[in-house]
Amino acid sequence: MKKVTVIVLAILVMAVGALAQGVGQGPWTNSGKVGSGDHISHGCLLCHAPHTAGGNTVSYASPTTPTADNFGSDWGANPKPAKIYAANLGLQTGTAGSIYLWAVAMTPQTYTTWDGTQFSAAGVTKQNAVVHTLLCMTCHDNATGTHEMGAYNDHPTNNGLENPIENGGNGEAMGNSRYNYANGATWGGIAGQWGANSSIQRSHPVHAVYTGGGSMWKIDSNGNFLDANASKFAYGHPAKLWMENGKAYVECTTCHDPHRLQNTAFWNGTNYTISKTPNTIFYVRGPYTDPEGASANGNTNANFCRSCHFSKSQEYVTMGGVE
Amino acid sequence: MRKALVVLLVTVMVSAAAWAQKDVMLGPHNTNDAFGCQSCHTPHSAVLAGDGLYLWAVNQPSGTYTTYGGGTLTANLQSGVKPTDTQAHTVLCLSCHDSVFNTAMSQTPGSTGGPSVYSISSPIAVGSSGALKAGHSQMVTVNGGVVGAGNDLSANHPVHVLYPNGSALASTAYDQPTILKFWKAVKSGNTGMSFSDDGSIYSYGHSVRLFSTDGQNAYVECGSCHNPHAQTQTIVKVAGVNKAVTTAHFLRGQYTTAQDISGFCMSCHADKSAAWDGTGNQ
Repeated sequence: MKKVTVIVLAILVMAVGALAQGVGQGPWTNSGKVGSGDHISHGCLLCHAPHTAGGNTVSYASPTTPTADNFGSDWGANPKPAKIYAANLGLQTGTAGSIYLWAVAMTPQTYTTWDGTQFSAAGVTKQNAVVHTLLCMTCHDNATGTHEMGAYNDHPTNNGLENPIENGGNGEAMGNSRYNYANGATWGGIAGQWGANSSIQRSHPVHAVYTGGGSMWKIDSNGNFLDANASKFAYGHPAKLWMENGKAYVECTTCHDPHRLQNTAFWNGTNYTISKTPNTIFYVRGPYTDPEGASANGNTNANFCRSCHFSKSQEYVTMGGVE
Repeated sequence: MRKALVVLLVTVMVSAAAWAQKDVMLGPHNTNDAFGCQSCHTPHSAVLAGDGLYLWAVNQPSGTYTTYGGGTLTANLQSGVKPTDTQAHTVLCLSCHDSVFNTAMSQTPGSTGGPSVYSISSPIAVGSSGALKAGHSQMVTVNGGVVGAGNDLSANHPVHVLYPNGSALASTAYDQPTILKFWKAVKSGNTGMSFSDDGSIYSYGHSVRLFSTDGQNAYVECGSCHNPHAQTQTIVKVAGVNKAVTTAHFLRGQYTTAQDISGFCMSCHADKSAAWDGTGNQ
């Protein structure tokens, strides 16, 4: 009897642990909202389109009022595999579909980044590093994006992952840094958009050249971190840099993998190590915890930043400031 | 049976404890042991937009502060406008450490509803039990923080003041006897300034950071003495060689023994050190 009790207890503990680790999640979960909610029927088609009629533009006003030009289906129901056109982003003639078979239109904009750098889609091809920011802006530019995706609810009301307009939210900007404490006190930050007039100056620099050495971890000529095997910084270096003309660029997808909501995939210098259990949030490429969640870990969260910002790490001090 | 249950219990407890984790470098700047860098910074939707404003996540004060000796600091950081002076390295600190401005900072550390953060004086004055340590009552009574009523910073070491040096503005701001009492600062890079001595003369080194926008006039700010990213460990350069040392209170120099504590102050205040030659050329 005692033996049975112990076994049952052990099974219960393991089951609770497994649940906490999210064992048994389906294939869609890794892509976050692609696999649940209103967009469950679209999967990869949220962003990509497998076919192109050459140069036609896809646009849709609202996911709740689809038109004949879009997926040709009732949003949320099984899509008909009818005419699906890859987007011409207003780029060079004939490039429709050539950039990752992108399906979302974008009003051409000139963006201003944190340090005043400006970029636009004019003349851009797949070989340009800035593509890895521009494509994100087709949705995440709160001013011009097709789905007002530049906004989500602030913490901690509902963990802020839904499109606030569709779900009755308050339209606050993505990455709202405000955290509300139990007594109603608000810890800084603002409610608002990315910024007016295509400004992304309130965000971490993008389309910025990454220069290794000094205060930043060193990289090789291919944009890979020299410490990819994490022998010096145990957290590893999950950020992905984009090479163009011999320079490594920081873009939106340097920190975010749009295909992986909560499981990371690391290049360790030899192969990819993939987390089988959820270990991140917000499509962040490295382990990251919700600061207001039960599993909050400030050390983990800080280490994601430090995986590029060498001088902010303990290793910087112990190594005497030289990698 | 009992042994198995104990093992099970310990396993569960260890797993639970693995979540919340202090950060050695950030210490109390890792708010609630949870926010990491987001305690002060944010990757998106920063309060202050643009270069030179550090993706700041916390509302910052405006207005004019009175500093030690009758000086003033006008806090007027604006989004999209890169500061033309060095004030960011003090004003951003005041966004939290002016507990008059940020009332969340005046709450008892760890109390319900408030972040577990302190005004500047508290880590020194208040022990882990929350009781005031002997001899520290005077610091705490400065309105619970560094700022007194009416934006009064005068009870603190001077900030946003010129570092006494033999350069253009400093030579008119200070008399010659005063300038000669401080270690010499020289141009570093295009617009920076650093100490002329690399620790070969003053073996403690000069870890204080001077802020300059023109390579001629250096300013002392909060960030001169404090590195907000490293509470207990830092690097000092002695005779040109970097050395990792132990510190406290996010100070930039070694700060452990009575000798170290004095040595940190003397790394600017040359006349108080045994290595001073009185010429102002060191």
